[in-house]
Amino acid sequence: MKLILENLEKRFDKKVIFDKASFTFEKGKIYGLLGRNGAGKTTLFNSISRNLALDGGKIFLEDEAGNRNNQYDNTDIGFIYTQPNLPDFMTGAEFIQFFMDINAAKLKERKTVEEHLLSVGIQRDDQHKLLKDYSHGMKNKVQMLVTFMVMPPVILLDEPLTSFDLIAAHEIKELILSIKSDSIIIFSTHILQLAQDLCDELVLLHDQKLTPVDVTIMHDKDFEDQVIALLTDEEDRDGVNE
Amino acid sequence: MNNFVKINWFYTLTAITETLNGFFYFLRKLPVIGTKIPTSLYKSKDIKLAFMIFVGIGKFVMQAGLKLIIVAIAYILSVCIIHQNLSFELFVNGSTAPDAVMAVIMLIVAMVLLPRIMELFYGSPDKKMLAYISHFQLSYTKTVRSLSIFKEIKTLFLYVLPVLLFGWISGVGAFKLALVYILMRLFCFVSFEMLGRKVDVEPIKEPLKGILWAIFSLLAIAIVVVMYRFDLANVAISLPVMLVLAVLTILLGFLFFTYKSESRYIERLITVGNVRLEKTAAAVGNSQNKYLAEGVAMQKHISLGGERKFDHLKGSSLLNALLFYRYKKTLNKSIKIRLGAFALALFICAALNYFVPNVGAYTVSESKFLKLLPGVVFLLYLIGYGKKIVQMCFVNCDVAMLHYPFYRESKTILSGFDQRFKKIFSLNTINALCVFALLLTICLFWGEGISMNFYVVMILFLVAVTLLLSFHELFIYYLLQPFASNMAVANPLYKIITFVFYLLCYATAQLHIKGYWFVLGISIVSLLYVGIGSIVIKNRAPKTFRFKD
Repeated sequence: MKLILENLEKRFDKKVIFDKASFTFEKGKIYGLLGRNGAGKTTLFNSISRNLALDGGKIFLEDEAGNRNNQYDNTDIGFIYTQPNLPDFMTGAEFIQFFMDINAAKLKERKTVEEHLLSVGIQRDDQHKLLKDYSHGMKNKVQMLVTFMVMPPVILLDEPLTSFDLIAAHEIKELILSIKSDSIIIFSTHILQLAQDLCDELVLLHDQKLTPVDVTIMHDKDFEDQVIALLTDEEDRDGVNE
Repeated sequence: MNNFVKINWFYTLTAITETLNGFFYFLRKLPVIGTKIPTSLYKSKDIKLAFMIFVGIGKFVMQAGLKLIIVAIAYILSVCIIHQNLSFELFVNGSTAPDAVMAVIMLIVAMVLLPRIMELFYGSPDKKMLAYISHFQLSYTKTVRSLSIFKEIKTLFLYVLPVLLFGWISGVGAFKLALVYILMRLFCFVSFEMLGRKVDVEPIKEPLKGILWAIFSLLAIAIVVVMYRFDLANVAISLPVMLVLAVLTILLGFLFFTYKSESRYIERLITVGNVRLEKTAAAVGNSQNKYLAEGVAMQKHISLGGERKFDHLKGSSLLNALLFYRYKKTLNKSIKIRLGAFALALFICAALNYFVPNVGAYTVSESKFLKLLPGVVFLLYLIGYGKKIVQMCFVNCDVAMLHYPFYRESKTILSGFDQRFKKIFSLNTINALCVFALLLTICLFWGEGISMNFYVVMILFLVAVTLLLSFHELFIYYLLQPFASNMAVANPLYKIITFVFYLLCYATAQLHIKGYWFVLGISIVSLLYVGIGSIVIKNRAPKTFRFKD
């Protein structure tokens, strides 16, 4: 399975976000998407997940036989938002129960609601509280849980793990690593250490283009400096030099 | 379970669950009773199931009742228009078939055509639908399609019940009228669905969109008017018309159910729906705080630049100068609107004076003018800039800057207050000058026995009231600084004072007290308020102007 982005174009009023941006993501790899604030990382995720129409270009899912499908369903893409998007006035258990009932045919594992919630560290006492009263980290866990329950072919994570405590972050990292053989995983992050720990490849979204980063530099001592240099504009560089 | 049924069943079920949980949440927030309601209530399945059945039936009954009222209103209107009369007797025994047919047509125009024209044929998903899709990771195409079709069937069913009733009352025949209604409604539904798929109105910009909307709406209303004027009700339900409608509905229905680029169309709707949601959220503000709505709405109209223009300024002066400069466009626009309105009023006065015969015979005495002046307070309050500027300053500047200690220094706070006061006063002075020009025109055209004292008092009054209205909002903003860093109103006193001040301005307008003393009294009280308030601000604002978190 491949996710192919071909000559993407997107602008908001006069601001160009993508200008003929292309890239191919492959199953079995975890990709880290790096870019400066406002570069268009979330816009890219929204376009891939069919939340936002593009101005130009195409996005395909290509199967093992090489058949391309640019009419894929939005449910083929799992999108984990920075700000968890959950129904406030539903308890954690109710939400998972409804999710399981509605998506029964797509569930990968047969577990009870309680087992599912416990698997991401939501304890029994908390399972019957309103999601409104969950902490940011707990909401994020629930959001990740439901995506992993249906395991779509592509999983997009917009700045994940930032709200997790040390243990939870470690558990989620392990979880992401364990599912990478089944899906294409792309996550945007500003934390380079996380990218180094998890990613097989890095992609820069800079100057309206998607560019791969040489994987051999990922564990270099000056990796951070090299990424900063790649993300620094000519103008900024001139400014620093002056 | 069939997918169509499943999507709709769980949509209803999740909505009822959230309503119910929201109700429990609200109960738990009530004083005294709230503490006695355990959180375990959220978990108890049996109690919830009982409540859910109750809420479900209640919702259905309410929706059906509402539709009955709507159909009844359309029917009564129709009887009134056709018979130019309305009595209970006429309504029960004297109404005729055209009354009911025209009521149905009116219903279709008002409840189907006009709302859909407002969207320019788009049936874009609402907030609830988008949330359901997003929360449960559902397919856009299948879910939007299923929910839209089910919504149409449900609404149609709820309307058919009262239509049957009025068909029977009017003598047109319950089933005949229901059939007419169903056919017309289904025709409109499939027509608009197909129009939405074939015509992409999104690239059309305002004001063309507005013009199109107005033209189509007028056309829809014109259909009803023409049908009433020429008694076309019987033609509308004649067999040939009904047959044509039925054939067209089947044809369009076929095209709708077999539309090839359905997923692309639905994705377009999702994009429109998401953009609309973002815009609404931005306009209303994250806190949904009506006390900052004007300031939040102004954010959309910011224009950048102006740094070089204010090279000579520093610190707080530069900050405020830039702030006002960047909102110059939107402020100028509102000034132009006010100037236009006053110019129109002056023009009407002049036209009345020169073109209406005998209008000069009407005169206004000095005592009548004096009675008018208190009303000016309310007018100036309504068109004043105090609230707008205060909200703009908070939303666009203070909400960020108050986090920094240097911004909370006494000198910075007082200098900011001075600059903002001057700005509001200068803007409100334009309003006062307009009012002065209008009053002066009326005095010149129709005034009788107006003494010089009146003009002096009027000028003093306008200056005092303008000072008061420019000072008041800023005064309570700096003194109470009612907002928290998340833009919520954290100080309830602010809400009370805002309401009381509004009431005072309104009450002043309602008082018709004669004589100079009342007008002078208002002027003196206003000047004293500003004078004493300035001293209070100097001493208190440096301590009070900070977030109330």
